[in-house]
Amino acid sequence: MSQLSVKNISKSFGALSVIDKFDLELNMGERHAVIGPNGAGKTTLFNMISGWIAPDTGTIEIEGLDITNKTPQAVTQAGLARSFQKNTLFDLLTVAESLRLAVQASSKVRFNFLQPARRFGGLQQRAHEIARQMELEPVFHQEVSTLSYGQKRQLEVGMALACSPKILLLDEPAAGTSHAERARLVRLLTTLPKDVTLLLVEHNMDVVFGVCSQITVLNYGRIVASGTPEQVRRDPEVRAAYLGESASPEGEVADA
Amino acid sequence: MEHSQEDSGQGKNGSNVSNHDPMQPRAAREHKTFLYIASAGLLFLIAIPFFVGEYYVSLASEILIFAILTSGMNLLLGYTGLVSLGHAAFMGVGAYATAVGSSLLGYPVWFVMLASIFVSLLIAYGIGLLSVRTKAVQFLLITLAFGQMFHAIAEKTRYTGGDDGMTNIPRIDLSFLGLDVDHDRVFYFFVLICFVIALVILRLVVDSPFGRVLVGIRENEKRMLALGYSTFPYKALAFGISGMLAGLAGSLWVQHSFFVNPHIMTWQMSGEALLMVIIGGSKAFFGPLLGAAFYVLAKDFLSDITEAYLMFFGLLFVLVVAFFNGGIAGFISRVFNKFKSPSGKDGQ
Amino acid sequence: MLIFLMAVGLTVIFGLMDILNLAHGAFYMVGAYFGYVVFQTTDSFWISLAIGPLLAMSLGFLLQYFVLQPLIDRGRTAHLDMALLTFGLLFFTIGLFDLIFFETLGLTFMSIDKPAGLGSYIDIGILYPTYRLFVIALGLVVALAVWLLLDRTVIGAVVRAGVDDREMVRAMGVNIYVVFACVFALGCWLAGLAGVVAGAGLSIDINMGVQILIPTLVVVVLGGLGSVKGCFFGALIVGMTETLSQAYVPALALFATYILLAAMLIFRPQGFFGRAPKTV
Repeated sequence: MSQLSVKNISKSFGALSVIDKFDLELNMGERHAVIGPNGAGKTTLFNMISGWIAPDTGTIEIEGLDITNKTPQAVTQAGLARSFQKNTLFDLLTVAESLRLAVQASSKVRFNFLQPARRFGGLQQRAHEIARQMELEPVFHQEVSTLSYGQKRQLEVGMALACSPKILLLDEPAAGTSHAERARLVRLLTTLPKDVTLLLVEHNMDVVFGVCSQITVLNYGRIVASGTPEQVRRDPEVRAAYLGESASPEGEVADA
Repeated sequence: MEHSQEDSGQGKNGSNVSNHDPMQPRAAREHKTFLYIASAGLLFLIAIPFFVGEYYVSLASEILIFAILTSGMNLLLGYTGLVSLGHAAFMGVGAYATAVGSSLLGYPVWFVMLASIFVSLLIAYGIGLLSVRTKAVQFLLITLAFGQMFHAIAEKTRYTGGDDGMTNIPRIDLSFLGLDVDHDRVFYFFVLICFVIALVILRLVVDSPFGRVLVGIRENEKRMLALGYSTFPYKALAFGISGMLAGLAGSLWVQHSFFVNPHIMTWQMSGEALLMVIIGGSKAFFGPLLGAAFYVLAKDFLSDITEAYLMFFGLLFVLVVAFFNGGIAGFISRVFNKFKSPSGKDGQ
Repeated sequence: MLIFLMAVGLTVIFGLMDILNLAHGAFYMVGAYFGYVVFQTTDSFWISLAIGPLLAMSLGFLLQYFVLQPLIDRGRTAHLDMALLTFGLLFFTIGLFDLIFFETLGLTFMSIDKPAGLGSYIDIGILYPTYRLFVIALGLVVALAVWLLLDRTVIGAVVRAGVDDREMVRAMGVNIYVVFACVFALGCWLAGLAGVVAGAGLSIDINMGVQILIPTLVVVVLGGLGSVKGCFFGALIVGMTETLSQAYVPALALFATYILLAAMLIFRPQGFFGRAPKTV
């Protein structure tokens, strides 16, 4: 049984069909990217999988558990955490506090309302571990609003990771980053724990080819191609629809 | 810090921040500062009745009562980011429950007080369950609607004197301690004890994992949902606790003034409480206390000059919202921080 | 009908610019008091109806252009801050008018005289005050005009586009801030107009702004924040609820409207004609 199984989901807004009969199976530990030109429906797809939008048809299951019409919080509790394309952070909290809130979400103490939060050292340790993983240790006690953009993107991923998910959905983790920031992000993503399944929407080919072993190409809400990076790169339809636009994907991969 | 992420050399063991201390330095430092301020403030509050006249002692009681109300409101406003325009209703519930219980039904006041706190908690929690589903402006409107409903009930109920309200409400009986609470100084200390209990509870709540969740909701509710929190029960409980404190304030208020009428539940009253919180500083724990003190004293001063004191508060309120988001408390801490370290950032 | 006029102004501002203007009651007061001053000097209802609302309008323009807009550009949680700020403004206005008209000038009972033709009753099956008929007609005409202006003209399109994408409109060479300020001023003009009209129908006192604000909010919420059409039905529903509850359960008269409001917010927060809430 696959870990995440998306079967035949569709979504349309009015007359506009955004996602049309989409299927996806992810195995545990898989690194999978969904790519496609702007407006291909990638973010809508993510919003459906993570519970923010209900699909019109189809089912979504995590290890056989149906999460199709669950709320975002229930989906996260079921083991699927996501990050956002636009930074969605706690600006006035520190990195430590942010990560601890994320860790606390899956712990029993979250509804404890009479003991000081400081006492729960376990949470703090786990938060610290995540910060180390995401290379945010030097800014651990800094307010989020003072971080650089690249660090915020790292935190964005870290927050999702701190939920201890089985499946991690990253929505354009490298959106808006500089070259150096991106290289660092790719390195961080490749060192994620091997048992976490990764599904990623991304525009940037450095990130996609650097991190993922499976790729699905989406255009106008339909799957155009899917397979290994090599297969996808050779696919004539993909070249026409998408890769043809960027100069030379092979050249960029070498960076990663 | 801006450039440090460019070189990726500082890896796993190059950190100097957190090897020594599992507790966050910022939280620990803040907690220490908090204890200093709290004990200094408490000493000050204990000292007041020994230095000022009867009239000002009574004003001080009023300040503390309002501070209980506004500190409770701040759990919603400052910590959770929800603006309620119906909080006077819960103060009214506490006030009427106390008045009815002691004056009409003849139960002892201490029992009635506990009961009214409990009743306000229940009612506020119930209304919280209904209200917190809505967002921002809708929340403001729905709390306004509920507040007005309670006001309408109080106005229409003959049993509690309708528009005129009720008078001759007794204060708590402390004669077993040999104290006479009709004496304003004695009553002040009783209020002070209630105030301290209320704020200790509030501090525990704010400091707990639950309190952190509330702050998370204020900062970014969408992210909280994505992290797997069902934010709804947290907000409802925060609303309940906040309403409970308002109820306590109401219960003390009737004892303080010996009467109650529906005016205590109007939305102008909620509005004035909101003024106190914002002017005092909604981001600081003691901001609402400062706001209540400022409001009561300034009102006392201004109402000698003109009945139109609302004008000044309205203007001040606008200025605070527009330019000094931290209110009085924010201002003080900014000055203090500048004093301490000229280069330091302001610690809101 | 007064409430309808108020509600249209409020909903236009909220719907197009996302500002819950609690100071709407203050602009209503400005209309009434300034209308009264104009009436005292000119002794003409019509002149005061024409000039009275203009002060509210100009103040609205200045407020939006010089205070609110800069704050919106700067603020993170502008939405609630706006509600709070305008709320403070309402308090300020009440205090100010109290100081000027009551404490300084000692005026307690103030009202604008109805014009000659509108002071009597007309027989339409029952005897109905002509002034009320006039107010109803005025309300309908004005609302229709506003609706046409915002829904059917280029100005309306620019405003709506400006809400969605400021940069795009700016690129078209339109100063969107002026447009916003004009819309805000339009809303305030409506409040001021309602104020003058109220000054002749009812009496003018410092509580008038607060008193009308709540039913106005109810109407706006029922209709759906931002919908002029919704306001019309909202006003009808509120009017009927009040009349019916007054007739059958007078004890609940005050209560019914609030229940309506709360129920609406719980079960259908977008109102009857509002946009569906945005997801994600």
